[in-house]
Amino acid sequence: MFPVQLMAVRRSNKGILRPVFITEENSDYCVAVLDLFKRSTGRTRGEIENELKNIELKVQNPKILRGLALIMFRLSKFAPPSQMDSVRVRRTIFSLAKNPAVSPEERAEIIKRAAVLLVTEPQEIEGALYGDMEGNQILVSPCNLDPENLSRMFNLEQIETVMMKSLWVEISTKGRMNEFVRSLRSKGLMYRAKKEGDKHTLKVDGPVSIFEKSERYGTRLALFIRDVLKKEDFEINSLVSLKDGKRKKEYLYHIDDSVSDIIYREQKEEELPNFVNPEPGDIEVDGEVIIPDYSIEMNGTVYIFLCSRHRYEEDASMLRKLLKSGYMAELFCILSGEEKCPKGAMCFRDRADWWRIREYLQEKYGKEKKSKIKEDFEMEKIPVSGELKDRVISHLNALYPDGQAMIEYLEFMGLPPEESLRLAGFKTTWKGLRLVVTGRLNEG
Amino acid sequence: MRISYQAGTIIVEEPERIPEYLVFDKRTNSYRTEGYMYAKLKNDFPDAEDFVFQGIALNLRHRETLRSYQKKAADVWASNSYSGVVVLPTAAGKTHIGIEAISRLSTTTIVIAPTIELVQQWRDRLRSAFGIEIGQIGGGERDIREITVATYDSAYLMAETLGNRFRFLLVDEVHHLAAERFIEIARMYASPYRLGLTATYERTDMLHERLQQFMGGKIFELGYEELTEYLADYEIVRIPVELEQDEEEEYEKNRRIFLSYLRKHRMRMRGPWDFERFILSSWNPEGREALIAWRRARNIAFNSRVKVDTVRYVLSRHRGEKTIIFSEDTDTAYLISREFLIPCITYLTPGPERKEYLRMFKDGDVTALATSRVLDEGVDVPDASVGIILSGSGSTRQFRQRLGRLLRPSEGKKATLYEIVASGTSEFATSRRRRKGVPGSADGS
Repeated sequence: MFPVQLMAVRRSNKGILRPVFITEENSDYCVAVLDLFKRSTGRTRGEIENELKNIELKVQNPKILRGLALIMFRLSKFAPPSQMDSVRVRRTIFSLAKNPAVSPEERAEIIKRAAVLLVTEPQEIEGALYGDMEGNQILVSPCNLDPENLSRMFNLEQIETVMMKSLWVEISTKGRMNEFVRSLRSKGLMYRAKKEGDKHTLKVDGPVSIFEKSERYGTRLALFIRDVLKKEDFEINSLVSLKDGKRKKEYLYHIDDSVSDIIYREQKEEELPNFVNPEPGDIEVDGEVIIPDYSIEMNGTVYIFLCSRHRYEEDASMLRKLLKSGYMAELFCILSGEEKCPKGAMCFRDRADWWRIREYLQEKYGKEKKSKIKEDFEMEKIPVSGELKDRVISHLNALYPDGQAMIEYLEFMGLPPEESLRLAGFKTTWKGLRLVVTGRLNEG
Repeated sequence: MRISYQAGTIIVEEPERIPEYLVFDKRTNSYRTEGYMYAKLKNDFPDAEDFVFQGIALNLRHRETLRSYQKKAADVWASNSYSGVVVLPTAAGKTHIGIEAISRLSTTTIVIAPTIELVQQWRDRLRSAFGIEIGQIGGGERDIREITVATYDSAYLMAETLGNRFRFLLVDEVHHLAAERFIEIARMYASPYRLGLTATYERTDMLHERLQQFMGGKIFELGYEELTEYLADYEIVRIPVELEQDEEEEYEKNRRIFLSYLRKHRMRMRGPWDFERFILSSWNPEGREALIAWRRARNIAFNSRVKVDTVRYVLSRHRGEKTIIFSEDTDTAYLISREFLIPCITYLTPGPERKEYLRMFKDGDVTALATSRVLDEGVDVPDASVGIILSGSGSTRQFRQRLGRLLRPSEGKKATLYEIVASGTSEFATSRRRRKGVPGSADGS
């Protein structure tokens, strides 16, 4: 997506925002930018930007030119003007010049001493001093795009840029919504689903959107829309907040799948084992439509939800409602980076391991009847206080002394780590926000 | 009844009753309120099962000696339910009050500051005050600990995940928090204890009024006049310089293009809002020409050759004294750095280099630093005694903040702040605007 000042739209007095796209009729913008880059090999980025300013004076819409150039700057290859490490050059010079070099002779002397220390010529030192700055980078090879693909990329980024300033987005389709919902949930967004005949509609925003019109979800909405635009059947409406003098003004924005021919679309299919259904049907609880992420057949349909760490509390609350309504459903938390598994959650790092999920479901649902599920749920609410199963203790013993692995295992099993470790005979302590296994209870 | 934190909000399950600040969220069929309402929620429902924060108590003690007004500020804040904003001039030791507040609460704390320099400075100060490792988020680091310092940007971007990690929210240069984007930090964090520190509470856009609701409002304030015994003596010297003839002609030519565009489109420049309007309207060939002309004229006024020579004169006159050279744009800062071979700190300078240059400056390994706007606020170099404003905005706040860099007291110190202004350009009026209300200004050459 572009910086917001490059958003090319037409605003109507009635509060409608219309996109400005590049089509065959105005493809001369692409030709001009591609030509500039083609003949600029060997020039610095700063020099190319200066020439761009001159071209801007000759075109009707300079924003289009800037946007196209930005794509080219991103995709072309640049290199620093000097092979020397600029940081090292600066460090050497500043350590030699305790006081500012106020006379030309003093300055030349410092440069000369730095050149001796770095075994090079003074001229090379001058070039390398700030050679690592963006404007000094030299175009080595321009990106090899044709005008059509460049315009498609521009059009896609224009849509995303508008979405970035959106307060909410509404998607309608006649197809299944599961993939859309997975995409938005993985970005920390929320939705309300509506069904009218064969048309599904999702209104998408974020947690704080019910209190205030927040723009904080704009980037995530833009990334979500990128996924929607890959599909064949969609209609998108959004409410966009833009500055209008001192105030902000809201505009309605509408596009549909007719833009498919003029935008860049990268298809990437999700790889799933064949026992996972990526398009389970909707569930209705208390009059609200819930769209599960996946389902797996296991003596009935088990609905699967995946959530990020910071969505866990909310999704766990939803899961409790589903279970109370008699559905079989499971929630798995996908951790990223060094995130810790929330208490009582079943977690995977970076991505779901579907084979491990199936094993878990087989153990839990394979031999049981659906009617028992509600009972089990009630049991799960009772905290562990008595005994731990032998296999859990034996697994913990096998993992010891890798305390982190022991805690992750317990979290995966949905057991409270601190209490379970104590019951299994281990000593623990809190170090700041971290629980640490310090030894066995029966050790000195 | 059960309360838990969810991405900047508090989810309330099975509430005993429904106060007006609880909103029913049809997306999840549950009640929800904003993060900052946590303290009120706890007060209204003390028996609710609470999953918002993890229970961690710390034992933090420091050996800093507080001045009488610093202790009083901390007392007033504590008696205001550990909430509110303390307003003191730059160099009056707001960090000491922050350290005292952290010690009194001894709980998980996030300190938010606007620049990487300030974040690193807070980290160093807290580490030395409490003798523990301090976390840092921002500037390429993501190390979360019981006491953590963060940039505004990181605190904003990570509000969803950090909002229930820290019971104490300490915001330095809190006037920035009132801005449209950053106020979400105050709204989304559940921290029940809050302290804001600033030298410049009031904003021209009046958004500081929001701080009443989210930070507890202004609870303590002292001005320069009341603290003279604690601040270094200073003088402000304005040096007008004449552009060279070719520069002047080029300046006039570009200025005319810009002004004629304004006249044609009936635009007036009364402040930042008008300028923003001009920028928005400039996306057409005629507007681009006017914008480019404005930039060229500004560039001439900011970077005139005679200005660079005047800097040379001031640097020679104060050789060996610690000097900070402020400019409005990064190009000028790099120009000065290249010309005098002094380190330069701008928003483009990578974190480790910023840290290294500041350390070199503090240790006296270098005696001058060039910077754009990133060192305007908060950076503490007690023995810096000379400031040179090569270019700046018309903001009084920026001017006071830059002056504040020189006011840390040290033995026998008298600070001098020079303003180098191009005569016959719009810079002259800008300079007059920014010095308004600042005592000690004098014109000279």
